[in-house]
Order: sequence, then C-alpha cells, then structure tokens
Amino acid sequence: MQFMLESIGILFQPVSLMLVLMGTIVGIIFGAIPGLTATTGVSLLLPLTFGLNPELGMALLLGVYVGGVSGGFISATLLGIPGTPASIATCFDAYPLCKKGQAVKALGTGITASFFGTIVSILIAVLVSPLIADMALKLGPWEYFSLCVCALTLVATLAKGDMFKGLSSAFLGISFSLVGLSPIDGGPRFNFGSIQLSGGFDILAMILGIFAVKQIIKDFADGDQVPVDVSLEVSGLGITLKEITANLWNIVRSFFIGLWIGFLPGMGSGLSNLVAYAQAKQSSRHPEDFGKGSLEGIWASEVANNASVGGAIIPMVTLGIPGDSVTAILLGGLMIHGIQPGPLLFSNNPVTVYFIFAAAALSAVITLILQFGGMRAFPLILKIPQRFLYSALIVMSFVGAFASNNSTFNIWIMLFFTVIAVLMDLGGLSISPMILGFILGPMLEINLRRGLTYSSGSFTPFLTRPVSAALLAVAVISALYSLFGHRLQRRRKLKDEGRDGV
Amino acid sequence: MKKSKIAGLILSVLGICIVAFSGSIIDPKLENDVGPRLFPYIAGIGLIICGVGVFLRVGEEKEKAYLSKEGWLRLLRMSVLMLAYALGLLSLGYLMATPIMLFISIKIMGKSVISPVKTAAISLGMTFLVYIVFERVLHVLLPPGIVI
Repeated sequence: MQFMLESIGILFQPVSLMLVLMGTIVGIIFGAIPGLTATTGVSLLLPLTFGLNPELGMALLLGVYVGGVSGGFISATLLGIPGTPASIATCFDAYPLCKKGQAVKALGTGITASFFGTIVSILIAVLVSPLIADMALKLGPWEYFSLCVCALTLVATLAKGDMFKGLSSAFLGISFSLVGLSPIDGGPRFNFGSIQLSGGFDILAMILGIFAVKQIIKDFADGDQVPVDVSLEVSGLGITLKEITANLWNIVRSFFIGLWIGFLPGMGSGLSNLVAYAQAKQSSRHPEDFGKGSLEGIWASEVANNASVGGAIIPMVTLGIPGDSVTAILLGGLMIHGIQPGPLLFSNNPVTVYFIFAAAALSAVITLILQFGGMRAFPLILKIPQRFLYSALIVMSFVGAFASNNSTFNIWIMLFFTVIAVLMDLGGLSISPMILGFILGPMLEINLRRGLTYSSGSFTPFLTRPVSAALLAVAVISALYSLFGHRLQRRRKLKDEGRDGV
Repeated sequence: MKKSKIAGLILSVLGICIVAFSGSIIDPKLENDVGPRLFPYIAGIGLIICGVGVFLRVGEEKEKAYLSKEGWLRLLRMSVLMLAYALGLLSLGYLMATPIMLFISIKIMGKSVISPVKTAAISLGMTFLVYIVFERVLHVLLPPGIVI
C-alpha cells in the first residue's frame, strides 16, 4: 500500500502528468494513422526518455502504448482501414455504421469500449501481479528455462501459420542474442574482433530498424497515401446506457478473451480483437447483422484489444517476459534505465512497478477524455501528409539509434536490422518470435546453464520437476497441434460436409 | 513455393555457420558449467532443422508478389537515401546532413509538387525542432560529424 501511494504521488507531479498527456496524444495520433502503430510510437519515443528517470520515461511510453492501442479504431471507423492490427475487426462493423451516417455512435462505442477494456485490465493486473511475482520467486532455473521455451513455442507456433517458419524466426532471434559476451563466464562470442559488438546488438537500434525504418520504407514502396475526404458532424456522445447493458455479457466475455491473450507471450491485441469478434458473432442472436454495422462487433473488438494491454503488462512486470511487441520494447526501456526486469522487479523496484500500473490507468482516463472531446479533430489527424510525417520519422529513428549509446555504429545496426526485417518479410517469417527470441535468449541460456550446474549436468530435473514438466508439455502440445492440427480440422470439415451431403 | 525454398536454404546455411563458428568459442571450463558453446550449438542446430522444415514445406498457397516492379524501385530509392543519410551523419554531422535528407525525402515521397522554397523551409524547420528538443531540452547528443 505504501509503495502504491508513493507511486501515485510521483504520478501526480506536474512533470509526470505532462508526460503521460504528451505520450497519450502521440499514441492516439500514431494509432489513428494507418501504417503507424503503438509499437512504432514507443520505439521512436524511447530515445527521448534517456535524460529522464525511469518512472518519467515509463510515463511517456505507457501513454503512447495505451493511446496507440485505443487510437486504431479512429481510422477503422472513418476510413475502413485499421490504424493498427488491434483494430482490424473493428473495421468490419464500425465502418459500415459510419457509412450509414452513424459515425458518432460507432466512435462513442469504440471510445467507451477501449476505456473499459484498459482500466479493468489494469485493475486486475494490480491485484494479480503480486501473487504471480511471489509464485515466480519460488521457481528455480529449470522452471524459468521451461517457461521461456513455452513462451517462445507458443508465439512461434500459434502466431502465424507455419510452425517451422515461426520456430526459425525464434532461433534467429536467439542467434542474434549470442553476439557479445557469454553470460556466466563473460567470454567473447561472435564479435569477429569488433569492440563495438562486444556489448551485443543494441536493442533500441534493433527495434527502430525493424518497427520504424522498415515500416516507413515498406509503406513508401507499397504506394502513395490514400487521399482522405472525411467530414464528421458531432453531436452528443453517441452511446446510451441501454446499449451498454444490452451488450454486458459480450463485453465481459470479450474482456477475458483479451486479458488472457494479452497475458500469453507475444500475442496481444492484434490477435485478441479477431478472436473476440469471432466469438461474439458465434454467440450472437443476430449473427447476420455482423459486418453491416453491428454494435456487438465493435464492443467485442475494442474491449478485447484494450484488455490485452493490462494482460500484457502482467508477465512483463512479474516474469520479465513481454506479453506483446510493445511490452518487449518497454522491457528494453527498463533495461536501458538500469532496471532489471524479472520476478525480483517487485521486491527491488516496487514503486516503479506500481507507477507503471498507475500511469497506464491514468492514460486510459486521458484517452477517454481526449477522444470524446476531440472527436472533431479526428479527420484532421488522418489528413497529415505522409511525406512530412514519414520524413520526420526517419530523422527521429536515426537520431534515436545514435542517442542510445552516442555511437554512429548503432545507426548501422539499425539499418542492418531493417534489411533483416525486409528479408524476413520476403521469406514469410514472422517478426514477433524473432524479437522474443532475442529478448529471452540470454534468460534461456543463463537458466539452462544454472539448471545443469545445480543438477551436475543432468537434464532430468527439467522433466521431473512438476512446473517445468508442465510448461514443456504445453510447448510440445502447441508444436504438435501446429503440425497436425490443420489435418484434424480438414478431416472434421470433410466429415461435416459428408454428413450435410447425405 | 520458391520463396520458401530459398528461405529454408538460407536458414540452414546460417545454422551451419553458427555451429561451425561455435567450435572456436573459448571455453574456460568452469567447474560444473557446460560452457559457452552449448547454447550456440543448440541455436545453430535448431536453425538447421527448422530451415530444412521450411525448405521441405509442401501444399503452400499461391504466393503473391511482395512488391510490384515500381514498388521495388521505390524501395531501392529509399534505401539509397537512408544509406546516404547514415554516411552524411557520420561525415557531416546532424545539422548539415539532416536538412539535405529531409529536402530529398519530402520531394520523392508524394505525387504532388511542392515548391523548393517551401520544402527547404520545412526541412530546416524540422531539423532545428528536433535539434532543440534533443540537444537543448533533453540534453541528448546528436551526431557531430567528423568533417565539420
């Protein structure tokens, strides 16, 4: 309680409030503009936090995160183009509703759903995180190793299509993490005689290369900005209490889908909005209305994608494992500020942890107020010419990479990973497992080596300790399902078709 | 199908290289420690196995082109600009290289024509705005360059 009050005290200082506000505004803009995401926004603003203390840095970045995830529904509603992957399903019903002349109703529903999803998920994170952190402290290196293996396998096998491609991406990330000094003994590895590579690849340069520079280049290569011609007549909030109560069960179900998917490493709001939408349609009394402007669809998508925010923060603060790509960058941000993520974060830096929750909650409130109050400004955000915006983003990316450790070598690292990201895109390899592999690589190795040292070189404890065995079993099951699951589904489909035919 | 084969091949070759180079990592042979080579071996072998899996992939959907011909030219143009900007930052420093890069970038992005004067003004404005925010407000150093 004392730490919670202390963190709230820091949050309500004028500087913190200003940073949360700034971050939220930037986040909403990044979320609203198609092609830019909360991930890009957090990557670009991370260098701005170097001169700030960890709490103030987190205040800015969390504002961007919450604002960015929420902001995606703006272009989804007004243009039919999702601002971020978190709002893909929102497009299906918000845009048709907008075309029917009910844009304000669609926007009002989206704003309310976003707020509910974020704030309740943060409250649950506050309650649940200390328990998970306590439990995490009782785990040994065997369990941590298996947890990392489980996290990587889930991301690699469930995130996108082919299992081998997902695992390749994960092993690629692990390989990149090998560059630098070996943990435990501190010997050089894969430096090729370069002093600059002794510290390994800088995570910020990597993130900027993959999420910012690559995105800018790809968007430019894909084609010019679509001209926007949107006008919005705003009157009222667009939402009624009756509509909220009519969707209560849908809201609760979508919330827990979003919270759980956000909790699972590497997934996040990009997946949760689609799963929640599909569930809502399946359970609805009027599934035929979906895709034509159904409020149920908008509630499902926006509650779930924002519930993933709190869900993703839980493993980030309790286990040092990111729940999604943005929390991966936030973890990088904590490390840059000298704070070691992991189960000891709660005991070593409790004020920072509670500050993270408080800042995210405050950002959700600010997002609600800004979005309801600023609805008239939404079409203006979408009209910002790409040439000015992207040119400025290029400068910020290069400056950010340099500023990370005052080294021009970092700029080359950033460009190297831009090339890697383009090649991976070309080869159909997903980026998320690679990022996770890079972040978890050192943790995997340290715990593997420690576990083997304690057990005198034997792998048996990894398989006989109950928690470790359970986590490895989940990893194996998810891999097997990915390999053979589509065959089972095809057999089931043929069986259903055969039955219908008879 | 072809892209998967190439990707699989590259991944397998990369895995082989990692395994090969891992043999030259110095092992201090600490008591009860498996050493710094084990994990690179695991990573390399993992890449080889997955690379082979990707290579042998069957039943793939029809691949669509990553970019059109014009898209590849735009990608190349932007890549050259990024490379030139990196070299410019290294040699000329932030204050000289950035307005030049911004001028070119604003010109090549977007179809509509903007006057050179307006473009130059916006480029200089953006350069100084970022300079003030980073160097003066946040005390974060920008690339100084070696020529100037």
